[in-house]
Amino acid sequence: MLRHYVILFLSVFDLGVLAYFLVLNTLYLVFCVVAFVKLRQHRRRWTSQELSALMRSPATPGISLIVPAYNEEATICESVRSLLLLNYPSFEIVVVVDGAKDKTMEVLAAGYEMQPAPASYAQPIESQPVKAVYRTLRYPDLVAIDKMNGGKADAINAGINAARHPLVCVIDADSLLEEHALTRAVLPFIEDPDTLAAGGIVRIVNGCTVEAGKVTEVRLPKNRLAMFQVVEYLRAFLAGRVALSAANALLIISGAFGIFKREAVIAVGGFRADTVGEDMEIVTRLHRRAREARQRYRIVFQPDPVCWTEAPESRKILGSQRNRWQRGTMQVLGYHKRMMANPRYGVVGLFAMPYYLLFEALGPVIEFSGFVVTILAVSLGLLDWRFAELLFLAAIAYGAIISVGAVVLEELSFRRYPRATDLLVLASVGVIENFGYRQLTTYWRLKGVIDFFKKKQGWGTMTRKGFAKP
Amino acid sequence: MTTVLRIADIFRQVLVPFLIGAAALFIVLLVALVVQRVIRSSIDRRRALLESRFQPLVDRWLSERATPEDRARLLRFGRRSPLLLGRMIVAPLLSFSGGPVALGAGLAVDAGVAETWRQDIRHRQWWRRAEAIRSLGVIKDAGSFLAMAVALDDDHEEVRAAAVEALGRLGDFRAVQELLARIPEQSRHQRVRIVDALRTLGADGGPALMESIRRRPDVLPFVADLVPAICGGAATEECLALCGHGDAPVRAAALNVLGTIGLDDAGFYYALKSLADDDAGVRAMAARALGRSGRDDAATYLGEHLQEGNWTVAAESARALLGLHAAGASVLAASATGDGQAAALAKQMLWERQARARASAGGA
Repeated sequence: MLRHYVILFLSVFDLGVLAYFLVLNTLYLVFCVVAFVKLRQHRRRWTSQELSALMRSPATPGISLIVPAYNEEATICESVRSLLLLNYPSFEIVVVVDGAKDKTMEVLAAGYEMQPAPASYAQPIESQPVKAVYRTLRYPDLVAIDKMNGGKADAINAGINAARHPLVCVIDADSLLEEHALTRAVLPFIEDPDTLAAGGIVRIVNGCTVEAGKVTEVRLPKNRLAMFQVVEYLRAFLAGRVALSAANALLIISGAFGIFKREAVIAVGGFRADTVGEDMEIVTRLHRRAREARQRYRIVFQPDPVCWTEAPESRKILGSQRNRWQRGTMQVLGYHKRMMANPRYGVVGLFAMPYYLLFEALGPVIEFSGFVVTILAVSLGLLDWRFAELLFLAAIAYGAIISVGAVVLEELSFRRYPRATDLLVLASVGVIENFGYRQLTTYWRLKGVIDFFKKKQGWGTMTRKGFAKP
Repeated sequence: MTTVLRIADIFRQVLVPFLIGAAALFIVLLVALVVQRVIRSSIDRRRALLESRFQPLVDRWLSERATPEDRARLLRFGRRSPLLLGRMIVAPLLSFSGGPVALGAGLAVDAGVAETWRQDIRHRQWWRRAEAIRSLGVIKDAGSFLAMAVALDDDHEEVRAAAVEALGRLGDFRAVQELLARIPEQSRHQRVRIVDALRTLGADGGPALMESIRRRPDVLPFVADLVPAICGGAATEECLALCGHGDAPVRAAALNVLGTIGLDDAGFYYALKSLADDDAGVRAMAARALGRSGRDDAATYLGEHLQEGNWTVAAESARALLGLHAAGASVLAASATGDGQAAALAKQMLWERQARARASAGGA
């Protein structure tokens, strides 16, 4: 009798997990279709002629690039050099050295002949005290702020205070922006003045050739983990974010590259320093405030301004990164639980928040337990083998189709990988990643869930190889 | 239990054919994309070949060095591939004016390319309409003025943008009114294009621009950066009058223009008066204009605004004092002794002044 109930429970549980995977993958299929339509519209709309008109126009808004830096003495000068090469009519670079323990500030000051300069600016957002502001006459649009340590969010806030342009672009010190990335990323703000924030696509630089701070040849990575991440990023950015952006339900703008209206960030009190998911938190808060004020607004994902970033190539570092992302997501959902399933917050409350709760926050628990329970139950003879077959079809086969779909989207839209063989390799990786890699990320995310409940804080280690050629 | 198994079977019956269909679809799509890549690269190669063969002929034509044989070959090519020849004519002309444009227009007309573009203005595909309008603008096809003006109200923004650009290139001053009339209700992006087009018209468009501003002062904020370059001193009287306009953005724009052109006695008076305006944007523009005037007697008035509650006005005043050299420096030095916003701004400006002086001494 007990065995009967155990089997019934396991069968019903397995059906639930099956339904979860079907809904998740079907949603992603819908995202792919929506993204396909949107990407086509986008490519036709923003031609190179439009971009060159923007470059010439005095009406194009200025941008302050905020670069938080912590212990970056080895790369900071190279990073700033690559930013100075950006092609945009009016921008300044605000490097915020966040109480670095190494000689980041000294190296930067020496490299660009910067001197401490008295500076007066309104400081509408609270941040840790600023020790000194450095400027240089060689590069009038380069400012460095040396401040007490307060974390990445606090450094961004200090940078926003010092910014003098109406738009602020937050980027990681170790990422590379393409030459025209700012021009492309600023388009939503020009098209619609109610745009509060816009994010660009983050692509994996591993395998590419980088010379003098620029990606000169796009190639696929040789490392398998980095290769899986290429497909993963395509799926997340080209399918997920394009579709969510179309519904104005985008909850994340990558911390590696996002542009915000300065006034809007100030109005919500700046970036929140007590979370590891500050990029998702600020976007969610912008949504929240605008919805509560019944204000017309847009938060947009732009698929073509590219920020190249180095993907972790070791399991340890990748696991630590995914753990942090998971904790960040759960923290943000906790901070804004009031928005969950609340019609007052429109599509964000009714779709985006429940989507993130079910598939991002609870996803690892459901997926991991689904796989483990099914394998154990089938091998113990407690569950019909057809359940395992169904789970394989819904989770792995369907997942592989979606990954290939994301590769197809890339080919139909931007074709950044130049060789025909790249397309075939990416499609194959899209299939292979479903056999092991995705389960591994589920495991790391599950550890993130556990660490969240253990109230673990901190960013973990993130060692990078660097891409600057001597 | 059987119910659960039946549900699982239903899932399976639906899922298996669906996944097979989806997988087949994606495989076909992938194959098609690979084939498309191959076809595209062969088309690109063919186009590059034609360009390498005919672009030198077009270039010779535009520099009046074409032989009769070149001409015959171009005309034959134009009949076969009018759009490709059209692109070859338009590309070099984008950075030319005068003689080459007339020669390019002549070739486009003789080879039937211009006629194809004129027909394409009403093409059902928007990108063909946009390309046709843009190209006709580049060859300054005056006969297409009306069609271009109509295209300013096209359903597709890209076509409207092309019409704006084409009207700017056409150099027909009737375009100023057509363009300015649409500025307030356009998207910000389209406004950018309109300003760009008006700049292309250049100084000859000045009177028409001033006339349009006289009729509709509300457009001044959109073209304030443009007016000094196009209209110069001719805009002074009109802008002085607009310093008393009811709308704050118009007043601020008028002061912005006056500041760039340079303040005469009347302008100086209006700028001083505007330092007491209710609107912070107007006060900031007034401070900027006074800074650019270079008149020492403005320094005391500007010094009073270093304590302004509105930080932008205070910062503009500090920046203006920096521009006033000795008189400004003495006000800044006096303000730098205390604490608070005025002192901080004054210290910053004095540092910049010192650093600039050091840099120019080093450069010398």
